[in-house]
Amino acid sequence: MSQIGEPLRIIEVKPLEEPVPEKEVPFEQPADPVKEPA
Amino acid sequence: MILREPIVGWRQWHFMYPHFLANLGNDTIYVPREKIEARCEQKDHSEQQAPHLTCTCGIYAYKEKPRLLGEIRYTYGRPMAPPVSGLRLVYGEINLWGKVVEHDHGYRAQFGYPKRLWCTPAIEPLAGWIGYVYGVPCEVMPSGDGEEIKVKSTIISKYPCGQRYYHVGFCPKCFVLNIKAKRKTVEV
Repeated sequence: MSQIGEPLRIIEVKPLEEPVPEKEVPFEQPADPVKEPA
Repeated sequence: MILREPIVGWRQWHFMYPHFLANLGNDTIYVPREKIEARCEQKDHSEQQAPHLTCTCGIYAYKEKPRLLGEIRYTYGRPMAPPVSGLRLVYGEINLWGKVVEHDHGYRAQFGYPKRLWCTPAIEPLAGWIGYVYGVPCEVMPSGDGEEIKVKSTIISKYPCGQRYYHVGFCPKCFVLNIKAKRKTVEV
């Protein structure tokens, strides 16, 4: 992500509500379809 | 300038099965359902809130999706590209807020959290799981994106010791010189 160019300005972003979902207890996870390289 | 809505950028992750999105160097974890906060490691910046205008700190994202897909293609499309086997590539939109440094083609932000995710077909069975864990939509990427980021990488056949490398040279484990590169196109 180093190709974003030159800095232009600073912006203050203050959302009325932070866009982060509430925490929940995870259910059973699926098996991993990817095999790690040997 | 103060905005009341998060800025939306585009970035990529590696999904560290079973729970975490991480940047592709695996040195920054995006904890599910927690915002990620930028920190600056420059000693003379420690008193100020990251990201700093003239530093490299912050949560990175591109402004436009094509530029992100171009970076993915650049990263994994070169002859000496890092291994793609085992990579669980996820990309998508990320909400950015707090102090945000706008650049020509992207942003560096104080806070971030994924907004919408896409994964490669190789990990399609994990799409629903990733979406659930992070509490955001996660789908298999559209075929048009697949054409954009089609990854080609060179895989060398296995060394006698069983190790697999992506370059021609001595195996660091068994010290056998591999000079017969077997090229194979791999898509993530």
